[in-house]
Amino acid sequence: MSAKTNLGEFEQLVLLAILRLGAEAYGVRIRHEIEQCADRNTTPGALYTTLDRLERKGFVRSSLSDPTPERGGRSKRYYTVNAAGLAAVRRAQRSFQRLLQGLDLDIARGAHG
Amino acid sequence: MDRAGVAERLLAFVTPRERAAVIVGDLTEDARVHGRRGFWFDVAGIAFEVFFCAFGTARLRTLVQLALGLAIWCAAYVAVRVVADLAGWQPLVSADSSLTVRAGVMLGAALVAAGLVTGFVLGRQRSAAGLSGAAPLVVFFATLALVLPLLALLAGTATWQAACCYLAGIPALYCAPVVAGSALAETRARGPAVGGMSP
Repeated sequence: MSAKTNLGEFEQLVLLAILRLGAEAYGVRIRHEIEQCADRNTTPGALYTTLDRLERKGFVRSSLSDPTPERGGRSKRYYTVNAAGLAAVRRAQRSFQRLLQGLDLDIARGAHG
Repeated sequence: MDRAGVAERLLAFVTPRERAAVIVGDLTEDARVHGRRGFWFDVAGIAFEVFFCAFGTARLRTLVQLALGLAIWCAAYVAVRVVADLAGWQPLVSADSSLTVRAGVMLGAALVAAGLVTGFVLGRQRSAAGLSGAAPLVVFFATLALVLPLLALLAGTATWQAACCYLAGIPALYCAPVVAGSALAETRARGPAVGGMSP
């Protein structure tokens, strides 16, 4: 499998956040979604470079919105996961599940503290 | 120009202008709506990460751009010094090795002029990743500003005066003129702005 189709851990988080946000997936919301759900501080620089990389890999596409006053008259860039990105997320999740099989990590108990 | 406009100009150095506008819009919204602090820290972090990401995808091209930038800067500096010598403002070679105030000011002016010319020439180019042609040179000078004081410290020759010269002088006399020249080149290439806001 080529490196182009593999997903890094943070790339997966970004794709999942975009999927969760649906039509409202843009920079600020994506970062807040990751911080809330993954309990992980994310620097804006890491997010934007990852979004750019995902777009170059062909996993997401983006579009510009109309400018808004709370952004000083600047547009938002909305992201959507396309079919290749969805396939990459599914592939990564299947890999995790296969690796987890037979391991006694008691992840369910850990998730509830 | 407000802070968002300045930030957009700075980020446009390492990424396409449209993308810089979106990023600054996000930072502005985050600060205004969510109360996020550290605007300039975020801008610096984004510029740093975007630059090195672009460098990672096109190392050879970036190094070639750096070499070209250094060559243009050296040629511009020599040209400015020759013009100053011909105009009688400052001789190319001085028998007096001490740096007078006037000589220091003329030297600073020559460095600024060389930087402006270099930035103007390089600023017209952009890499496929959106990196300004002048960005590698600016990063190189900024790196020197950080590395030279450390080297002086390791060599045991560090003084606070020299450290101030490196940390303040190099950004002011080397980096800032190149950035300004590049911004001027981009402004001329884009034409007159309307309202100063990005679409």
